[in-house]
Amino acid sequence: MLLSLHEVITAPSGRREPRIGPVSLCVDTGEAVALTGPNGAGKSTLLAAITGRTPILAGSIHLAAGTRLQLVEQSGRPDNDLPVSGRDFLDLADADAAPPAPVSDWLDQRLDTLSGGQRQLLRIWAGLTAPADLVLLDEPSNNLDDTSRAILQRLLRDRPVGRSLLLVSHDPELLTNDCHRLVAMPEHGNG
Amino acid sequence: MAELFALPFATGLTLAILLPLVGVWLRLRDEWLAALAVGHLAGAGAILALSFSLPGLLGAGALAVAGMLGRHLPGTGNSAYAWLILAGWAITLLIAANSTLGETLARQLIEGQLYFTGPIELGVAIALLGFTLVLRTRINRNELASRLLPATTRAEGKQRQRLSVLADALIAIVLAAGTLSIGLMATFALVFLPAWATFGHAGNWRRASIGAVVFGLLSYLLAFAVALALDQPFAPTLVVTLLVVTTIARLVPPTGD
Repeated sequence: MLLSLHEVITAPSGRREPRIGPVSLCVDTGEAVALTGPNGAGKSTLLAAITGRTPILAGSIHLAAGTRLQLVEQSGRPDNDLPVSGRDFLDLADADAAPPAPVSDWLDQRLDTLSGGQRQLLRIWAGLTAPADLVLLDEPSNNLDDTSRAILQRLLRDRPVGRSLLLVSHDPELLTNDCHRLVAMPEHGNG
Repeated sequence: MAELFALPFATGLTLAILLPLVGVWLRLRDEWLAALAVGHLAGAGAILALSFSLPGLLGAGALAVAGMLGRHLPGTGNSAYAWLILAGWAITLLIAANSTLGETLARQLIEGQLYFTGPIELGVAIALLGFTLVLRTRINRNELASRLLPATTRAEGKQRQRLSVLADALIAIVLAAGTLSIGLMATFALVFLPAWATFGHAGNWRRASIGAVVFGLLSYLLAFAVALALDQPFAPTLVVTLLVVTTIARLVPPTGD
């Protein structure tokens, strides 16, 4: 088992309340597991706990020895007026520099000239193809139109063989078509 | 005549390469105001050291590094840099007014004293350029990753922070060396303006870094020639040249590469 969470309770960084969980789940090699739940259930906080950036208050998180993680968050800092191209970004992430179309069309453009959806797909490609065993994707389909969501689904399916996914999403189509299992967060907390 | 200006020219030339390189890192961090704050602290540190008969660069470097490392304290940012600018300015002038060095030295630090630099200033500048070029790739990746890619694990975050502290120390010492050689405002101008000009247009990070150095170098060469030919003080001539060159560059619409 690559990742297993047993009765994990956590809270937003540096606080003890509101409590999030308890959550138990496991992700095996090559598996895509969806984490779902209402807004404020603490899904993003749970991802932060898995990466060790937020302490857990109870329970246990076990990562198989040597497991490399990649986290693709909902959005980064604004990159306005930043001379960084798509190619620079993939190089920085050590990601596959030959993405499929249309992502390949954006490589020589600056990030601040791409639309929000294009930047999001580029970040997802970087996360999916950077050296990692488990990729944590936080709301990857947020703010994407139908065309971009179709591209996202293709990128997820074409990810490197054996790469596992833990995917936070509300998107029923994504959850049904692209995930092996679904884990629902308890309906309380705030994260 | 030419021999008299050879060392100062070489010192300034080295700084004209070095300071824009530091400038792209500070602009990437959105912390370009740090250049002015750390420059003020370096000035205060130099005056303080000299008033105790210690080398000016030692005091300037120590206070500059301390100020730069302060960015890792919680709740800091451009507000903290503004605070440091005011503190550095006040300390510099108060120490100068109450020491035997007088106001002359404080004015030299603020206005620049390139023509009075010698082999020590040149040696320090060349050594710093060497360190910067050796560490440049690692610092570039670290600074870009800190801005664009969140640290995936806590361990990775700590590793990034260690390299960021190393970059802070290097940046601070470069700013201190610049302030002591070409003055506070000329240093700030070489840090801020070339990066500002290239960030608007450059198609990628490499072009932005090279472009900033080119703007710094060209402006320096032009300003040095104009200051000598027209018998003008160097630091304000450099600042005016940088203002004109980089503003024109910034206003030209991008060609789309």
